[in-house]
Amino acid sequence: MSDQTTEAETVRAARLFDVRRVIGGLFTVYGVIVTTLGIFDSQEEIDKAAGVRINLWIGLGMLILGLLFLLWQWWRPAEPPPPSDIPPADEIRE
Amino acid sequence: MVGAAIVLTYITLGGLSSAIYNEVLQFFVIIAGLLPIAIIGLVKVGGLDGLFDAVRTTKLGEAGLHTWADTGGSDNPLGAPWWGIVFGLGFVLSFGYWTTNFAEVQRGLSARNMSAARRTPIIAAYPKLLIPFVTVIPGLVALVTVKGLGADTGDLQYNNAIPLLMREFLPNGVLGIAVTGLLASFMAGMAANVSGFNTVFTYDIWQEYIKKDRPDGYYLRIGRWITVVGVVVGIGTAFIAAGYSNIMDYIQALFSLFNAPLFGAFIIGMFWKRMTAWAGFWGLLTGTVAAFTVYAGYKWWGWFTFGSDLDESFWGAGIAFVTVAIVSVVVTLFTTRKTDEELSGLVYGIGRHDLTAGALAGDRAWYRSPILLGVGALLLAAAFYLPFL
Repeated sequence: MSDQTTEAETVRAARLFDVRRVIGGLFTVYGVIVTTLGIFDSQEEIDKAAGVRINLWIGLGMLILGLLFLLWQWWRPAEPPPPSDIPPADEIRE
Repeated sequence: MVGAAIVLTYITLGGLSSAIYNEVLQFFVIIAGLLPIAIIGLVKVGGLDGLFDAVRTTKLGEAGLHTWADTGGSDNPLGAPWWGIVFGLGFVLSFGYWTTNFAEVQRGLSARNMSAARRTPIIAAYPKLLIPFVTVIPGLVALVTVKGLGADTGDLQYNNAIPLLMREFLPNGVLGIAVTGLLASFMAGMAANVSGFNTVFTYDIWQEYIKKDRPDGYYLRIGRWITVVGVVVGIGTAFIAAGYSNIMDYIQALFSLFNAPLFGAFIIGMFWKRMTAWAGFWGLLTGTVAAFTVYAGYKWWGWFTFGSDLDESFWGAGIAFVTVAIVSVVVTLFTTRKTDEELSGLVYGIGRHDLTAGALAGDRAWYRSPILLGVGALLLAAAFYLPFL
């Protein structure tokens, strides 16, 4: 395996586990589910929430937040730290 | 229990980075879970004005809407006078929380360079400023809407306020998010403390004093076992916490016992280069004993009376701090200090820190200036604070 492929793999791993991607993905999924529930909320459920269509609003809010996080990580992808930035464990102790 | 098992799995396998990673994610889930309760609660009681009117009719009364009113003496719901709040809570307990609580400090230590480390606690202050919106407001709403809240046993204890509100207000959908948020907040707190506990135990106790000079793999294994112990201890403390009428009393009591003396020893050692290692040790020991005496004298032995459990914590913290200061000075006079070289970079006025160490290109941007961010957090805090004097 050449150095270039390992480097590409490092970059891909760093992006796969970018916390923005996880937050964005999770909130987009939550947002879609809760918004869908919100659209089909029964009157009984709306009354329970003091007349607020809370599923709809919170769902939309989470959807937007999730999409913003996804956009942010596409716009500014994460760079893995250069290998020299990670000192051996003995140095961390000091 | 299930939550504890999940925490155990991800810390044992992923260590500190997985704890921090999950905390970031959990933060957003917690907010998403608590926000609906605050919003519906406010709508239900007729907005802020409606809430305030309703609070005035409870036994808390007008005082429940103010932070400093009536603190000239102990005649307020907190049962604490202003000097106890300012010195005990404001100075010792709060400073101690942000500077010597290992769960916070560890986040700063893991930052990638000096600039990021200085920004860590300051940036953390911003979301912390917004937390009262999703905790204080639901608390007041629960006070005025849940009848009989404040019982000593059963479902209607203060600690159950949030779950009670969830059951009452939230329809399926956001209810699931809120339950997730509660579990997330439990796991975030547990993970933060357990990852601090296993680091300190492995590095500073086991490696320093018990088994020196073993390979890294050995210490990693020890750390993992200590993580298991930490989670078990964490579950155990939940039963102790259940003995308090609310979690806040319990947390502040713990802080006054352990954080307050630590903070005293730290801050004196940081600014006074003559202080000796033995002074730190004896100061810490006597400070903890002093705080414990105040606590036990109030709780069990009936020596002291305080306005409330929190009032005791404020006094305990203040007394611990003063004890540490006095004992440190006395012990210092009888022991030999460390040389300037040994203290370089650790004590104020000796050596210099390179504040730009490991700086990245983006760190010069104005929005990354620690001073600017700090001033911003202070102004925001004042803006939230002043309307409720």
